[in-house]
Amino acid sequence: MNRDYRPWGPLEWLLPKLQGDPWGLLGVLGTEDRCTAALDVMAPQLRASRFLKILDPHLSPIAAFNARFDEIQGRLIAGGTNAADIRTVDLLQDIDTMEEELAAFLETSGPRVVLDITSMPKRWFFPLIRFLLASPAVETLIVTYTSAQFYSEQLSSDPAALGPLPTFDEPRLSERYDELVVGVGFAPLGLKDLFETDPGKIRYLFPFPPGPPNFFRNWHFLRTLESEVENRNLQVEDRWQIHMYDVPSAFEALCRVTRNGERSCALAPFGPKTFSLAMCMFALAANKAGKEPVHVYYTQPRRYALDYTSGIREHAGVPDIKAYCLRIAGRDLYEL
Amino acid sequence: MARNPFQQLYVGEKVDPDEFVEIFSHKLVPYAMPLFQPGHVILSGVQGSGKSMLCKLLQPEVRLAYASISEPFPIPKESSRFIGAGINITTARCIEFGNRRAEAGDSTQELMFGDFFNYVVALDIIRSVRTLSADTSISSELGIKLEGERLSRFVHSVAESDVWEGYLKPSVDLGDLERRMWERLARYRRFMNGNDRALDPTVASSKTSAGEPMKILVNAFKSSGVVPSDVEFYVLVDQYEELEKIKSNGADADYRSVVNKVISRDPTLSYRLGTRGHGWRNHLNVFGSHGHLEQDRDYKLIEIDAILRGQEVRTTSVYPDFANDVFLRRLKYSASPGSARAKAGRISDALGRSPSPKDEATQLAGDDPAAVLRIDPSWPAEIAVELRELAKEDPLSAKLGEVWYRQKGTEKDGERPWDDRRKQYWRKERIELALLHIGSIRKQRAIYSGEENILGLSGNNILIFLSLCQHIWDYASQASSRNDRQPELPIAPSIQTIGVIQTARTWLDRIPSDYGRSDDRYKLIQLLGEKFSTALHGDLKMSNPGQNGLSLSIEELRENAEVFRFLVEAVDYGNLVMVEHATRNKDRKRRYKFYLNPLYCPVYRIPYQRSKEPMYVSIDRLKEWLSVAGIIERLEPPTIRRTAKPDAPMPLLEMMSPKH
Amino acid sequence: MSALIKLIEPWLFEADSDDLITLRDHLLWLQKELFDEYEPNRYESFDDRIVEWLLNVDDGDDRKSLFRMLNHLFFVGKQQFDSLCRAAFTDQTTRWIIDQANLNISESTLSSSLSMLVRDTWFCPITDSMRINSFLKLNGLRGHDHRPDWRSLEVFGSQPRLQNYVASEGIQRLVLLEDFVGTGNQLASCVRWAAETLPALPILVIPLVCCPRGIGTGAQLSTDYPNVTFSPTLTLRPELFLREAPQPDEPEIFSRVREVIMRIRVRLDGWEHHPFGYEATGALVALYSNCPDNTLPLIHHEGADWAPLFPRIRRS
Repeated sequence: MNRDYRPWGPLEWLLPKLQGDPWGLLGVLGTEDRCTAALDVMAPQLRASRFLKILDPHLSPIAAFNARFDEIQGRLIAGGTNAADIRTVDLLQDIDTMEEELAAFLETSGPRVVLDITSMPKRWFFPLIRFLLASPAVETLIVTYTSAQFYSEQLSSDPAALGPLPTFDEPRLSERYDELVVGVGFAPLGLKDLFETDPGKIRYLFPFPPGPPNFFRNWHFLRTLESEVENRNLQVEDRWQIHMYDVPSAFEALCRVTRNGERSCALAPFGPKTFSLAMCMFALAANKAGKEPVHVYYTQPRRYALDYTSGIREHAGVPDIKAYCLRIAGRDLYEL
Repeated sequence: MARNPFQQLYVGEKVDPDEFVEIFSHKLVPYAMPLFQPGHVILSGVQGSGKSMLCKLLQPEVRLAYASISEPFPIPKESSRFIGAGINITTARCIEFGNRRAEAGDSTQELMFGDFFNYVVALDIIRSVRTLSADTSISSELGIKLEGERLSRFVHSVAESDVWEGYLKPSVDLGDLERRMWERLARYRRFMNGNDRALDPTVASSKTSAGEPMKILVNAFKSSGVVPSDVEFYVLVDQYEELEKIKSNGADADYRSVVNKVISRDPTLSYRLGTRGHGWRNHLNVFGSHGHLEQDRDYKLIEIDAILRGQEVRTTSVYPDFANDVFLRRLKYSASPGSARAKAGRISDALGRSPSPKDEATQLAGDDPAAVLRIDPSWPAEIAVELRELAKEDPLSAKLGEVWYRQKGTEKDGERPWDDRRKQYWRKERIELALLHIGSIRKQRAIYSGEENILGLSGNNILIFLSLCQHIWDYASQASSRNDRQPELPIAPSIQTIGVIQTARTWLDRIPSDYGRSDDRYKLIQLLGEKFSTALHGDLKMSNPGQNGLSLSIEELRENAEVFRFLVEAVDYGNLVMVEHATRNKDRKRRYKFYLNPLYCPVYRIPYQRSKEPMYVSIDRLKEWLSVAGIIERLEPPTIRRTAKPDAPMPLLEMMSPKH
Repeated sequence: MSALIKLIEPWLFEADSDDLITLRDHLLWLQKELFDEYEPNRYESFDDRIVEWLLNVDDGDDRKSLFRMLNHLFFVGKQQFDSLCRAAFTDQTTRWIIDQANLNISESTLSSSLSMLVRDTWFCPITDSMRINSFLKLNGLRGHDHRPDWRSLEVFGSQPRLQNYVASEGIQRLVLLEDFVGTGNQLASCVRWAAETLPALPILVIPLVCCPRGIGTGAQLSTDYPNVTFSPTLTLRPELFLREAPQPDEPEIFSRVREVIMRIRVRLDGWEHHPFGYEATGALVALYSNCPDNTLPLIHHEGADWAPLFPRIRRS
């Protein structure tokens, strides 16, 4: 075994191994059952918790959404969160406001922070992780992700045009990329446009395990891509099957294919948030190492289904929450 | 499997010279000549209308492609003396202007965007001139001389101009000029990405006014002798409609008005705004002015969809010719010499002709044609016998006879009155529906094959047409018994039918993954498809055979702007077709009729052809349906009708041309 | 022409067959992506096999039911298997070693500590169908010189010699891997033997793919033997099982296929009385290396009167 180990695993396994001061939790008040799971598990060890209620531009049906928000809010407050620590923000919020919200959270969180990305749109968690890692006030940072029992047929819609995620489009010398790595998900919203960037090589991160039913939907994603775009580089060997929850392995894969950032790269974080987290960490690591900026392209949906997911998956009788250490006692774990 | 000539549906940014020149069809060029003539142009069309292909002719790389293989450029010589450049709002990532918080007042966002826009376009103009000058034949033809003293004069003239507020001084050569421009854009990117807390002060203090720098650039090219004075400059602003979607902390900076500002009456250079459908009409403001743009005065409008459709009765549609040309070019591009593909002269050489309705009915009826009939038990025996006998040789006529008797009663009115020449319209309006009824009874699909059907199903959309061909070709290859797995031509109707169904399902299932309110549009299509299907299949008398469409009063639509905007979005994304029509009502008020995209019709087993009167529906009824489908909230009280004010742009609805 | 296309073409003209067109396309695509990897029949195309399989039944509706059932079949290809091998190591194995050695995950030396501990870990297969060599290579592990399959060891092995080997090699822990576990009955016996032979040695049992009933068996093993930890990499969800008795919320097609199974069971030779597979598991699963006997026999049985879709190579 000759690789760096980056601690990750079930939250109930990881937490006892990081004894110390209480934590500050930043999460999302959404419409999913699983948004409260991290709070429920961590409540006894929290000094502060804050939740962002992130609103789509066109919420519909409004009454149903509001009822669901109220229900989840009730659970969060019952779990120990102050009503004043529930902040309403927009999905398409500017990054200045994002930084301010984060700064307000860090004033009470303490140096040990948990960011729960379970219900957090990628447009938000990518820049937030960047800001958190840039903050010297954060000594230890964990990211958590809770699995759902069931996914809706139609998860989201109304995608914005393909564009970079906020803060992930620093100027580059060349417009072209040696590599484009795409996360495989359920619906290739606007993905066809991505191939206009004319990368040298396209790779796919295919989440496996887990298996069905998501497995079947992932194959459909690839099949749709093949029928929509010219069949470039869709070779079996360009499809990397990686355990969906194994963020470090996905990160390693990106390091290897780009030769630690020597080959230029663009990323498309479709598919599971765990792969997206790996992509985020890779882009930030490349940045820190002074490599050419890694651009991250996404078609941010502007409407999410009310029943995006339902239920909380359990493993061994407890909510299935995975936790990933990004920084421990000031030491960054995801570096090139 | 043999390579599918229709595999690549989208002609992307990357131009392969040989391939583009071979597959590009010139057929639309004569109808879009204003694109290649001085003056501003709005070019609108849904995806797949051929808009992108036309715009490609403005790109210098495409011009080079033609020159490289000694193919004549497809623009008439008198209109080909131009240099094209532009900006694609999406690929230029203009959306990032929503990343930073807008400062209150003073239109800061608009001013920044205008400056950014200027530099992107300016860089592209220089790039285009440089690209064209690198080719001997083109530079000679256009008279471009990017060298020596002329070039020095150009650089000096540009750098010294006050329009840049000193930012480009001192630039020693062209490379230096471009580098400074590029760096400025890089500073914008740094600011928009939060790498810099504030916009670089040298940039912030030297913002240019939208549209002005490009005029300086063009004049400098001409005054220095780099470019002759008779060469026009055309700038394409593509995906214009994306500007509306850039939001910043809830505030709506008016980026479209900034672009509208560049459409001035100064003839130095001409702009082409490429946009989807009708969406652009509701916003004709000009930044910094109280005025607004006017068609014909400020710009010409080219609506590709209308061109392809042709006028309703008199003018021949250009689409069949266009599609035929595209088809043959693709087919021949990779064909072996002497092969059937290489020798094909028409779509029908590969797909055959569509079956006649009589033949189709016979095929659908199968070995028990009398089973297609639903004889009413109350009818006289001789009518039942007549129809059953007739069904043996002509099941379609028999079915129409059944419908006739249902409608008109069983009083005999001559021999087969429905076949009478005087009833030809009655019959024509019901043929397609009769075929579907026959198919339904026999639990068979309708047959979709042949040039006519495939063209009809593609609904004047070249992208859909190519998609149909792709699927049909794929299946034909799989089903081929040839060693080389090439399809056997002409492709069997059964294969084409399956290819059509597969294409239809693919396009329908793709709607939720599209842009805009795609999820709601998908629900809308499901809703209407099922309503039409229920109405048509439940109508045994076929009293209303035209109910595969919806008719709504324009006045009611005007009073319900949100609903109308949604329907127009569905039209702009190609999910619906919208046509004005003459009402059957005594009030003679204008109405619009809406049909599903023809390609979806096989999925819902409704005719894609349009006949007679559509389903007349009130706006309240439609809103009820939309509400039940979860597309809109529960019904609200009617909105107050907006009226136009003298100095405000007219609402969308007022601008809808009655000429569709 | 594709044999499959020829067979099913008439179906595609019937009303309500849109799903068959989509399924046909999907299967043809998956054929080249996955199914042609099936090792027991490497040189015969899936296209020919599926036609022969559908022709097992004469009735058109039965054929359509079998065809529609394939929408629910889970085929684990070689790439998926490799991913399972990697996941087994990076996920369960690594965490287990950390727990066993009580490592401090905050230490900057964690990676090197883990490397040393992995060297003291013995990776072995439970049966010879688990390709231990691949597992080691995929994870960059040297492994120990001897990697016997423990099912054979249980029969032929000498407990004293085994104990001596463990001691002399300095082995501190044992990881037993298996490619597929159905009910867990086969695995339970040799895990018990391993736990009793080496009661002081921590043992991690990892099925790469595990059926729900195997979880119960594994849990019992962990209860009975404190030194045993059972941790599957991928647990199959209930929707992948067509049980003898209808289940709530099962796909509609299952009830039709159930009827077909009961009608053709006599043609399945030895499976006639177990038409839902070993221990009536009813799995809709095939691995690229073989089809488990927990899978519906109508998928894998090869006999005088039945052609398989994914023929199973039996152990004995």
